[in-house]
Amino acid sequence: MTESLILSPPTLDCTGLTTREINQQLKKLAAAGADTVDLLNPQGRHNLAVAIEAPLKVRIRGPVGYYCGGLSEGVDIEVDGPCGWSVGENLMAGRILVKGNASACAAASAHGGTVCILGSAGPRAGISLKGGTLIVQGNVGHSSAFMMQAGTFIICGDAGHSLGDSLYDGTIYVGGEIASLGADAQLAPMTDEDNALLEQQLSPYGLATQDYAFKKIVCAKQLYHFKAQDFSKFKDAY
Amino acid sequence: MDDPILHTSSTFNPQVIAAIQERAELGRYMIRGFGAFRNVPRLDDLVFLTASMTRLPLEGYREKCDTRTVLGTRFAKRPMELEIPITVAGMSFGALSKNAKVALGQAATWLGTSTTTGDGGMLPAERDASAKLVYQCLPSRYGFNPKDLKKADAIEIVIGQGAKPGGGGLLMGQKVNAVVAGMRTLPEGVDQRSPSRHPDWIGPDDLRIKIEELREATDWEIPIYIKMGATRVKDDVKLAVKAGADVIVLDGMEGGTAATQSIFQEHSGIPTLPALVQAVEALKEIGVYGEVQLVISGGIRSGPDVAKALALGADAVSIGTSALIAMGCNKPVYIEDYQALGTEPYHCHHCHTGRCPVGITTQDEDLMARLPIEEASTHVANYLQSMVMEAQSLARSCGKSSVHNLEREDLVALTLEASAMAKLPLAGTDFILGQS
Amino acid sequence: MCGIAGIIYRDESLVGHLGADLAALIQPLESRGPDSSGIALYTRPIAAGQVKLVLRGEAGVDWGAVQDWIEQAVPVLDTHVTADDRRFILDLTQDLPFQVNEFRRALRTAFPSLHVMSLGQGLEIYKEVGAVDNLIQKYGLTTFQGTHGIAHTRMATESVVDIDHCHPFTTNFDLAIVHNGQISNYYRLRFQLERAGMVFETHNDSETIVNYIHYQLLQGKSLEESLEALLHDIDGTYTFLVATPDKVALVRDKFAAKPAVIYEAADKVAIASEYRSLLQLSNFDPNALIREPDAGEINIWPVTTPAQTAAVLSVIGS
Repeated sequence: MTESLILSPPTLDCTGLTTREINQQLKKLAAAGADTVDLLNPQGRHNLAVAIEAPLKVRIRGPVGYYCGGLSEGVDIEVDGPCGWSVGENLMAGRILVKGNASACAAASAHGGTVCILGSAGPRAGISLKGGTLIVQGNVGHSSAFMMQAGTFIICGDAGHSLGDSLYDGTIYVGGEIASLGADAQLAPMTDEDNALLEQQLSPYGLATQDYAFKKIVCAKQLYHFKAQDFSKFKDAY
Repeated sequence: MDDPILHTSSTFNPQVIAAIQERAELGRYMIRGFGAFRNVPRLDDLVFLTASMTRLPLEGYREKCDTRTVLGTRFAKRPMELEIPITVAGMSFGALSKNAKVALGQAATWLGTSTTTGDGGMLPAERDASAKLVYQCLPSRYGFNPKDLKKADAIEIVIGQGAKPGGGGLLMGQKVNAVVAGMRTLPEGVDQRSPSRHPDWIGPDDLRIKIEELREATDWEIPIYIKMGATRVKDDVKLAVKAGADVIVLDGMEGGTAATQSIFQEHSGIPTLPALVQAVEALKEIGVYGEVQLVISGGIRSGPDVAKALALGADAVSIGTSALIAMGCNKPVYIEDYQALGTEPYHCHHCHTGRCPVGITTQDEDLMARLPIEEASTHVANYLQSMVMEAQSLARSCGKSSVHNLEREDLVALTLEASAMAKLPLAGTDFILGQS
Repeated sequence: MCGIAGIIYRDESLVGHLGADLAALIQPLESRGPDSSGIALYTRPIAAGQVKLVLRGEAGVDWGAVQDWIEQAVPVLDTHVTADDRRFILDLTQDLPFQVNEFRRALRTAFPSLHVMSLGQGLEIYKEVGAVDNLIQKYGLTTFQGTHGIAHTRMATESVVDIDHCHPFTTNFDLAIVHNGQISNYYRLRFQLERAGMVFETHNDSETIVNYIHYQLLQGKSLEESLEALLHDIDGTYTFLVATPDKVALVRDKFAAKPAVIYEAADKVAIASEYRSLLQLSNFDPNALIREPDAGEINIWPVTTPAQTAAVLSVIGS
């Protein structure tokens, strides 16, 4: 593509460009010190704004496909629309705000930063989460927070079956109903610190803690070490 | 009777009795390191038809035999260029000690080949030691991050491995010390159960999108390998190619692991020999043989193994267990420490305990000190060099000035099983079991 | 593994778009399925007692002999040529014994190089190996009309790449499926279904799904009941679409392993493996309801466009 396609203020029209070209342009803009870029006509395309290592603000004006913002560090992405699988996959730092629904595996294995979904998220949201914060204003599907290792996962709506199955650590908050908890996930009492943390995490997105009756879920640590003669658990857990 | 005849049941032999009684105590499956113990048809069951009258052998030393190997020519701007067709397989820091990881990197650098990270991320000391480092993308994603990704010379997406295809890994709590736990974002001392599937994609159609993500993150510079345990090899290889792999890494059932359920090692996957043959057939059937490179692993121990693998159609081999043995695994030293584990040198497979008597598969500082890096590096490098020389000798004796010019037709089988699996004639006959 | 798509029109005036809409939906899904593609579309039913038979012949098929053979079994009212296919209109009003499975089997025994693509009053199936464009160009897909249809792009898993193993699969009048996933108890199910008299023509695991549904329908179950039973009996990963003359259903396994996105607007329902496909629809409505099925969820849509009987020769492709 030619440089003339970059308008001022930076606007990038995805029409006619390959994903390769779009991401190259984003990286170029980030390197040139641009602070905001508007991405037009994303058309549900996969792998947009992948591996951006700069505090570039990318406003994506429409729906995106899989892996939006994946492997990024420090980026600030807004998606005006729904997103596909694994938004913010392996995010290290920064923020991804989705103003629509997210498909499966939102923030899969993210290590840091914040992924905020203003709609609902599909199955396996927060799977293998290793840090940072995942906020879902709506509901999440089954097996969310599977094998979560660290971080904070806030679900304002309902959670599907097997929430927090086999989690190692981290904290899950659920404002609505929980279909079922997974192996080794247990309810824990809410504390003032929890409420303060929720307030701090939710208020930037216009969400009020008091609108939800948050429950807290943590690891019961019963699967940390195998125990013989515990006939109830291990058949379904290991 | 003074001297009774002892009868042994084949069904309930001493090993079976011990295994039943061990599980009766434990209440779980047994966990161990190493690969399959059972005897399987292997590359040893093939021999070369070296030169005699129809073909002329090349002289050693004077007439060069090329070993240069290039992997990842399909999409990557910067393929992996290796001096030898032997690479070092992925073994995690965590399963292995830091000294062992650094020694492997050093030895590979001396020989002009690559090493591979493992479950648990990229150890900075390993990156420093290894000039060509393959960064694994595993289901657990422990320590996986874009900064290390950009330091990698290739990416290996691990679908599975020969020791436990379809199963997840295990790292017992005694090996999850503060450093390992920190790298993996895990509570210290926890029994770590790795997942058996990736968290962010399910199936080859979605993997194709994942691969594009990794290519975007690395600017399409470096090759992407897909590593699989050998099961439904033909279909799996074709799907890996369709998903977009530059290189297929196929691990047979003899391949090792630091810890998994022994049932996987003994009862799942197929041996390296038939796996290799089927993988080459699959690549040929979809017209990408030579375009997508094939690396075979699982029980590769010698130059003849290397030469036979190349003759059967592999572009390179990968070694894991044998490299550890080169640096001292199962060596008859510190015998009392082997005995404390309930084993003996040559029989040890207790990698999962973290009490490795020779300091390789441990995180214990005192045990690790038994593995000086320089000495370990030298041993691995010597071993690699010896294997390359052996492979070259066989290639020269077949009249080849490159090890990559070895062909299937240079081989025959010594056993019916090997004949059937390799689809090669039984030595001295025109008979191929299953085909003739 | 694969891409799947489907359309159900709620507006009579859109039936002329079916081929173009299905083509638009599956074109972006070629990356999910580079091996082959196919469509099953439902025209308005032809006259009562008549049935459409679509055959695909490999090079060298003696179509005259085929025509003679069919006419010996059942009267042929019309023959239409499209690329390598022949579409026959058969007259079943004369009280001749006609068993779908028997007919398919006998025809393939007589002409091994023939592929029986579809049989039905509304259903027509067209498939092609290779890129989606091969299918679109070969059949002039974008001119095809109909009330609803399903489509597929295939990344072959455990069976060969050829016309027979392309989706959609059908075993019965007007019944078709497209599947993404892998059935893990395929051989066990196949054995049970074959013992019950069902006929398998390929080694594609997806054929189990259509045979299973066909069998359940033969037992007097409704489509809804059949799919409920299927969720329990069929193991592995699957997101699939099944179509009949009056319904289209989307079924997702209990693991929700393979993707699907549903688009529901006033004028149509569309389903595709990926959202970006839906954006290619003609008259895409950004305010339409967009959602994804949950694990173990069955969605069934009625086909509500008026099912007027059209003259035999006004079916698509004429």
